[in-house]
Amino acid sequence: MKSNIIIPAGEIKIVVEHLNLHYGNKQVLQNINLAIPEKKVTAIIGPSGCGKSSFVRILNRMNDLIPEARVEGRVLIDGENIYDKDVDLVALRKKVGMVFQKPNPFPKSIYDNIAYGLKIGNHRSRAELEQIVERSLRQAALWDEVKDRLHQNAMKLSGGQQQRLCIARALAVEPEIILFDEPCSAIDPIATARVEELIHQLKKDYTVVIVTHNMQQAARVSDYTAFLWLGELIEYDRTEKIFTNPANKMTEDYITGRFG
Amino acid sequence: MDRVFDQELNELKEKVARLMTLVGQTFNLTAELLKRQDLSLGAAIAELEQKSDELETDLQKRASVLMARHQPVARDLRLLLVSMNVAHELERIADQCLNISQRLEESRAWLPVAWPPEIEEMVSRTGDMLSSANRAYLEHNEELASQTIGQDIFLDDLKSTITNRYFDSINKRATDPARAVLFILVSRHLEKIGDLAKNIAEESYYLIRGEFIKHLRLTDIYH
Repeated sequence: MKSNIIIPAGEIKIVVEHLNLHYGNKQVLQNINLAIPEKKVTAIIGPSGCGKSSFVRILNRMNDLIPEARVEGRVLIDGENIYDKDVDLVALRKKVGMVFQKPNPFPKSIYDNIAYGLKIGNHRSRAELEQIVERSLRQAALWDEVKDRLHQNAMKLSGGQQQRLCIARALAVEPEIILFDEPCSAIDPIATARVEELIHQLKKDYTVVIVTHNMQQAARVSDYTAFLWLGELIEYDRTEKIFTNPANKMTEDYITGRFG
Repeated sequence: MDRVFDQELNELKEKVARLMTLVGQTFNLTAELLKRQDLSLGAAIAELEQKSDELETDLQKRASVLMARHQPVARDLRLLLVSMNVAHELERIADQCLNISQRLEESRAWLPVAWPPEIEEMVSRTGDMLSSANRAYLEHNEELASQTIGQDIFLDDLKSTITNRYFDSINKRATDPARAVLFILVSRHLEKIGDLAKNIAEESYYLIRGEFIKHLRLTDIYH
């Protein structure tokens, strides 16, 4: 394969070139090459252990936190290799936000969950902070539900609300890219529908990469889909193509539930 | 291991095959009616058409349930969509057969008529198209699908020949108008059956290749 699509150069946000990832002696990703378009939703699908979460963590260098992780190849965001030695990791992770499988709010108030990251290293006025908190909660479609209890402990929110709070927290620092690592695996169908609707809204302003084991979710929310299997990129194409007429038999067998 | 969904898809495909058999019988009976002009065959055609309606309705309901329960993708999705569309086209073919039967019933006073040779050729070609379109679906045969699509133009030409000739003869008062109208209407029904068989072939092509070719010219498909 692998990539059947040609994305015009001006529309590309992320380019992954000859990417290999090893955890010690184990190779997790093998020679991945793909271009992720700007302000679109790109889904990464594949069976458990195929490397999809490892792949998405490559995009903001979260794998740096794993001992023995070794990355080869290049990951260019806006043309700059994020694996260059002089890259500022704080700035990178500000630019590339991440939302995880399980909602992980801080054991603080709803307000502080969002304001906390903004306070670090920045001297913002109270008015500025309030403005950003409101904007982020509105973007995450949570404002109407929490505006009267901003100082309540975030842990009292429902699972779906906590996940949207985590999205609001990621949005507060004004990233350009948001990575979702199975964001709906721990929330109910109604909360899932809200998060999916939110992802649709977010792509107007952000580049979104979502890892999901839920094929229907990939089909619903994404514009492009990449299928990984045993650390290899098997197929990457427009989502409508992948889910109606995939080029590769392995992709077809996987998405129709014949293996995986 | 076969999935339950595979079994359900196979059952759906068997229903389409049964509908094809039923509609094939309806068409053969209609061809016999045209040949022998024995109006007693009309009742059997009406009965088969009724059965086709019932089977098609059953098939559409079953397909809708499968769609809702399994939310299929890729070739499963194509098989489901195409089966629904093919069933619809088959039911419309049975309708056209019934229309032919009704045209003959309405023309009872003028029977028997000597059919123009083009009508006989249309019956033969339409039967062949229907048979090859059905096989294209059942056997996933892309070549048969393409061949069927290519046959439609001959039916169009034959229908035009009949229409032009008998409109002209009506104008010139050379033919009994009632007979001329019967020839024109029967040719239109046959040509419509050819169109519907072509649709089945196009659906089969989509099933096999995943590409929509409706409304394309043959030269666009085989460039």
